[in-house]
Formats: sequence, structure tokens, C-alpha cells
Amino acid sequence: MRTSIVGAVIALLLTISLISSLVVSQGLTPKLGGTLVVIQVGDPKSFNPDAQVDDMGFPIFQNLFNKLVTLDIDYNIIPDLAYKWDVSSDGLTYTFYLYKNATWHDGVPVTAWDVKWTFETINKSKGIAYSWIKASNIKSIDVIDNYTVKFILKQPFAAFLSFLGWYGTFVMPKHMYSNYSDWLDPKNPALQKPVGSGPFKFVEWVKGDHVTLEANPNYFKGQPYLDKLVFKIIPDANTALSSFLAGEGDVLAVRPPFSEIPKLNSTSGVIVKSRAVPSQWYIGFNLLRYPFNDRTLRLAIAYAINRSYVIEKAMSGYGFPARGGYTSAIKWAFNSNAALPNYNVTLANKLLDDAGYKLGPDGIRQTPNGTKLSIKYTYFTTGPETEAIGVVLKEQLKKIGIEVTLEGLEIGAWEQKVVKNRDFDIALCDGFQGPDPDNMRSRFALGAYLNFANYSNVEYYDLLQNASVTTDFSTRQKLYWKAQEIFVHDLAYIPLVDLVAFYIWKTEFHGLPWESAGKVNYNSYALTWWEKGKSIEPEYIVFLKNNALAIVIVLVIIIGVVVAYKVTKKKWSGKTTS
Amino acid sequence: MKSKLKSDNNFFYKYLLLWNRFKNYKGGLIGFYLFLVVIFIALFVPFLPLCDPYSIKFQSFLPPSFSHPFGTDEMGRDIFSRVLWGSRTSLSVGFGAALVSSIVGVLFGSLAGYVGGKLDELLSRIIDIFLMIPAFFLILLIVAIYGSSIYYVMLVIGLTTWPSTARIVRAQILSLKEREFIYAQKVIGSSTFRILFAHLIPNSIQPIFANSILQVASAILLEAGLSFLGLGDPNVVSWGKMIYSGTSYIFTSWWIAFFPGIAIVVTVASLNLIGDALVTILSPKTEERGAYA
Repeated sequence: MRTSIVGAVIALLLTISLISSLVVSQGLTPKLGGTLVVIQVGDPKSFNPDAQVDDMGFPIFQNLFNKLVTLDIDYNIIPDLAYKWDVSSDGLTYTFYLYKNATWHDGVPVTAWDVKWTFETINKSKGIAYSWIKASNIKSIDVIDNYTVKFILKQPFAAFLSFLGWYGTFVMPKHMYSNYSDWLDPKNPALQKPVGSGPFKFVEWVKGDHVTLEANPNYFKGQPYLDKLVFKIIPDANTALSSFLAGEGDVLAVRPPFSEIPKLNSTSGVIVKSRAVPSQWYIGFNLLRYPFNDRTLRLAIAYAINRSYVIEKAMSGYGFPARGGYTSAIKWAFNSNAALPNYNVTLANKLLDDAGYKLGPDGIRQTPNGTKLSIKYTYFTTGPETEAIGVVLKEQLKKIGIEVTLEGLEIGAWEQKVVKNRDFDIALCDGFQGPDPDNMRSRFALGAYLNFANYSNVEYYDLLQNASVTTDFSTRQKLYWKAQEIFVHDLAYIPLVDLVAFYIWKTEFHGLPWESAGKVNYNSYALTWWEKGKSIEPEYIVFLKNNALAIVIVLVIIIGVVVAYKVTKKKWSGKTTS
Repeated sequence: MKSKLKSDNNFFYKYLLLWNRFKNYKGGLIGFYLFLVVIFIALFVPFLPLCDPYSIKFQSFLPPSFSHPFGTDEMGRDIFSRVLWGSRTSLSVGFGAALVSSIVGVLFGSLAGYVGGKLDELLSRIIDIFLMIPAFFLILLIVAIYGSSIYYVMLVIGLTTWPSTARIVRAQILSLKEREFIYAQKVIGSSTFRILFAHLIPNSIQPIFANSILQVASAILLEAGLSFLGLGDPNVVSWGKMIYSGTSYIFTSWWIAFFPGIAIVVTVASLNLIGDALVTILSPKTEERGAYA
């Protein structure tokens, strides 16, 4: 009787511990080994990462090379080759301190001389980053010692760091290139078999098929978990999707048709995540034209637009409603308090009534000047969504008595008519708004080429101008936040939709770039690991670690039971003997 | 004899004769009745109890049902109502373009044919040049750059398809101007203008009529083609545009592209049947010729 009770208790405890150990052993300890296959659209153009715009090569370069600083998935500036940097108070001197253990894949150390050579060559050979980093604004690049380099600028340029961390600024091996006068000289072996400093080393490139990289065991930030990284090239979206589903890839970097997203989402073993990218659809008003120079009218229109409805109807639901005066994807610069007016037709109608826009007999309002409030929406015909947005706006503005006609133009004609001739009422536009909020200045502020609305608020301009030369991070952030408040008050432009990017991968991989904000750049697989890989520590230690809690509980219980048994046995035996 | 002459000059009598012969062509007759239906729809669609073809208030991608006989499209618009309203766009583009093309073609052709000599050479070369230009690409280019209002599309199609009309008119006039009644007009001192507009053009109008009917059909197809490439007028309902937006969803929601496709087929086929019958009747090669040709 006694033994059966004890046995039952022990069995129960064991099952509990077994279940708990199963739950805990799913824990997130990285494992070693495995190959990650990324399916992407096309081949790289060359293996010189700084010479030309190369959107297909870029994700590969991000794993092969390093920059001085880099950008994570939220567009924060994070250390890369430089573990630390100082900016002088006048914003003219940038000093970078490099990791001392960084080496090129052939074993040569990465030094400040490589950095100096890279940026001087970008300037000399007009690399892609030439205008972004304002290479001609760099007065000198001084090597203080092998691991310290100083950039001296002619004019302060606060977005300098962001652009250094973005595109075409990979530090390149001077020793591989300095013997050739042209950095695209085909005789240079580094263009066939690139020598980088990044977490992965180049293995092979089979044109039109794949690029293979392998782990760099000497990576200065520690060896990556994966053994191999393969970029598989499949240009067609549908083929890419079926290869991915057939198990030939682990990350799908070719965007599948929107209509396939729900299917992918419900496939087991596949994760689909969407996040906003720093690119927006927005409309701008022609402020040179009556009545669009009336803020009340613009405010009423902003109230009348239901941005979620635009996404639902015009973009099959894929997008995020714009929330404020800048893209929410660049988190540090986005001011969530500077909110756009929320959909409210009643308020919009009231605003127009009060401002003297009277309803005509045909249900369409008239301006206080007596002209009919019929406006033209001018868009470029790059895809079905530009027109669809117009169809939704037409329907929504009808509810506040504004008639909209649509005018679709080829994009060159659109630029001529809208941007150059300013011959429009409202126009739709989109574009990349990063990597730094300085983009607002070149897009929306006084004097900017793309500022087709002719938005000329001097305060807005001054704030952005100020921010572009302020190097103190929090002061700069405050300037941008204030600028966004003015932007959403003036409403020369109304942001509509934050565009969305999809991240599609197999659940058996963890630590992907978009899950590693603050640690790696937005394409780096340095921290990615495979859950079926080998454990880093011997198996039994991992088992003990993962099941520590369960083991302790079991031990405590067993000891407790044994002690209790001993105690009771003594009592019992005492009883029998007495 | 006298009454014969009188009836010969009667415009309506000529067309009655034409109709009597047309009746014998089964295909032409079917086309004619189909086309009457299309015209009826185009004329009376505003009075039919239909949903607003522009309203996006319905749920998207509804399959055909009792409340939406042709289903709804990707933005939640009623396709049945859009197909019926689309007949107005297609027919007005078709007739508008054919009208423009006929007017320009008749003017050029009759001048070239009647005046002859150097002017004929010059005008004929201009006609040749226009015949060689691939009209569709010219139209595509013009519409892409200057915008795509429906009147614009009409005008552009008309102004690029006139040479075929011009050639027919020129040939007609070349033969007619040698006939006795034209000499008679010259002898009694009629002005060139009068000879052209009162005698030559009215007498050469029948082959142009057949040609114009075929041009209506090709203009409808051109407009649909433009819209299919995303270059149609976004402010009107167009069958071509409906097919264009439907192609992305052809495997999931076939009805978006299917019904406007059928509408185009019916309209263009009916016009082609009529046109073919007319061409056969009015062709000089046909045994029994028309009252005047």
C-alpha cells in the first residue's frame, strides 16, 4: 500500500517533469551548422560593392563586407568596423575607432588605410555613394594610427553617418585593389573572388543560378552559426514561390504575388511577417492654385480620406495607414504625436460649410469665389494601384461634395506636368524616404526639386536646415519631431499609405536580420541559426541547462520523498518494535 | 422614265434597295439585330435600375449571384452595371473615331481624286506615309504623353485611321469624274465645290459607309487595347480596362475579365458581320450592283 502510493507520486512527478522539459527544450539557444538558402531575383553585377548601383548584389555584399557603421532593420546607426566614433561639436570632424582584430578573408588585417583608400576612391571614381555621402564635402581623411581614422568635412552634414551606413560605402581591401588604376579592372582577381571582412567568405558564383558563401571562422565579431549561406537566383516570382514551397529555399526574398500571401501564411513551417518600409504613397496639393492654397479645404480633404479604406480597396489590404508627417519605418525620427487628421466626414463637411464652400444644386460644392469644386487627380501609370487610389479618393471626396476627375500619365510626362510645370490640382507620388530624415528636406522643403506642391513654410524649412547640420542626436531628433508637427498642420502633402515589405522564411531558422534589430545590418545572416544544427556545448550540458528547472524539481521531490519515507519508516519501525 | 429618274435621286429609296439586298445575307442580318440590342442598351442604360457603376461600396471579388449577375470586381464595383455602361464608351469612341476618320478621309480623297495632277501626287504620298505609320503605337505614344481623355482617344484614333477611307474615295472619284453627268455639270458651269459636294461625294458614299462600319469596330478594339495597356480614360467605364484589371485575378475571379470580354466580342463581331455583308453587296465585283456605285 505504502509503496504503491509512493510509486504513483513519483510517476506523476516524472511525467510533469518530462512535459516541462519538452516545453523548455524548445528554448532559444543558438546551434551550429546548417545551410541557409535565400531565394532572390537576380545576379550581382560585379563584386565591387561600391562602384555601381546593384540591388541584387547588395544583400550579398552585406554579408561579405563591412562598413564603418551600418543600419539595422529600424534604420538605427549601429557599429560595424568601427566600435566607437566621435563627432566634434562643430559637426565637422568624425573620428572612427576600428576593431583591432578585424581581418580580411585572406588574413591581412583591416586598417585605417583601407578606409582612407576606399573613400578616396569613391570620391575619385565617382562611386555610387559619391553624392549621398557628399564625397566632395570631405576635406580630408586622416589616418591617426592603424586603427583610428578621422574624416574632416568642409560643411557640417548630419546625415553623414546614416549614409555611411547605407549603400555603396563598404570598406574595401586596399591591398587587392591598389595595383590597378581602375577599380572595375576585370583583371583584378578580387572582382571574381571577392575578399571581404564580413561574417561570410566567398566560395563560388554560378551565373544565373547561385552565389555560395561559407562561414568565416575568423570573423572579428565571432564566427556565424551557419556553415553556409547560398543566394539562389530565380527571377520569376511564381517559380520562386513554388521552389520555396518545395523546400529548395529557406528565405523567400522574391516578393510573391499578393494573392499568394494568405496561402503562404497558412502553410505550416513558414513564417510571413510584414513591416512598414520607409516608402510612402502621398498626395500633394498645388499651393500655387486657388482654392488649394486654403488650408481649411486641405484639412477637410484630410478628414475625408479614410486611409485604411484606401489600403483595403486599392492595395488588397497590403500596406499600413500613414500616421504622421514622416514614415514610421525610421523609428527614431518618427514623431507619433504629430498625427494626421483621423477620418471624420461630418467634421470635414462642417469645416467646408463654415468656410463658405456652399453645396451647389448638383451636390457639388462651390468655392467662395463661385467656381465649382471639381479637382483633377494626376497620377503616373506605373501600376494598377495608382489609379485605384484615385478611384477611392473620388468616392470619398464625393461624400464631402468635391468632384474628382482622374488623369493618368506616363511617368516622364507626369514629372514634366506636375514637377516641372506645376500644372495640376492634386498629384500622387511615392518614393524612398530614408535612410535618414534629411530626406524630408530634399523632398518636401522649400527649394527641393521634388517639392511639387510648392510647400514653402519657412519655419519647416529652417527646422530641417538646422537639423541637417546638427550632430547632437537628441537635438536633431527634436528638430525633426517639431518639423513633422508643422507638416501635419499645414497639410501641403497628405501621406496616405506606408508601403509594406514581406519577410518570408522557414520556422526552423532563427535570428534572421529582421529579428536582430540593434545587432546586425538589415541583410546580415551573421546571427542566424538552424534549430536542427549541432549544439555549441556538449549535448548533456545543453540538456542539463534546458531542463535545469525540471531536474531541480524532480531532485527536490525525490529527496523529499526519500526523506519522508525514511522518517515514516523510522516511525513505523519504531511502532512495530515497541 | 421620268419617275425612275426621280426615284433614283431619292436618298431613302437608294437605301431601301440596299436594305432589300442586305436582308438576303443571314450573317449581316444577325449582326444587325445584335448591334441594335447594343445600341438600345447604350441609349437607355441611364434609365435602367442599375447600381452606380463607379461605386466601390460592395464587397470585392463577389462571384456572380442574383444581386450581382456578373459578380463584383477587385474594388467592389458591380460588373453587370459596368458592362452595360461600358457600351456607351465603346460606341461613342467607335462612332466618334469613325466620323472623324471619314470626314478627313473624304476631304483628302476627293480633293486628290478630283483635282489630280501635282496635288494628287502630294496627297497620295501623304496618304502613303500615314498608311505606313503603325497607328497603334502612334496612338499609344500620344495618349501616354498627353493624357487619355475619352475625346482625345476618339480624335487620335480618327486622325490615324483616315487614309484607308481616303484611298477608297479617291478611287471612286477618279472613275466618277469621267462620267457624263459630271461633264454635264461642268458644261452648265457648276462650281468645283458644287460638283464635289453635291454630286461626286454623295455618289461615292456607299463604299465609304461599309468601310466606316468596319472602322467603328476597329476603333472599339483600339480603345479596348489602349485601356488594356492601362492607358484608357480612367474617368469612364471601359471594357478594355475591366479586362486589364481582371487579368491579375483570372485564376481566382474569372468573372472580372470574362464578361467585358464577351461584351467586346459581341459588339465587334456584330459590326464586322454588318460590314462584311455591306462590302459584299457594294463591291463592284458583285454581279448585281447597287442603284449607284
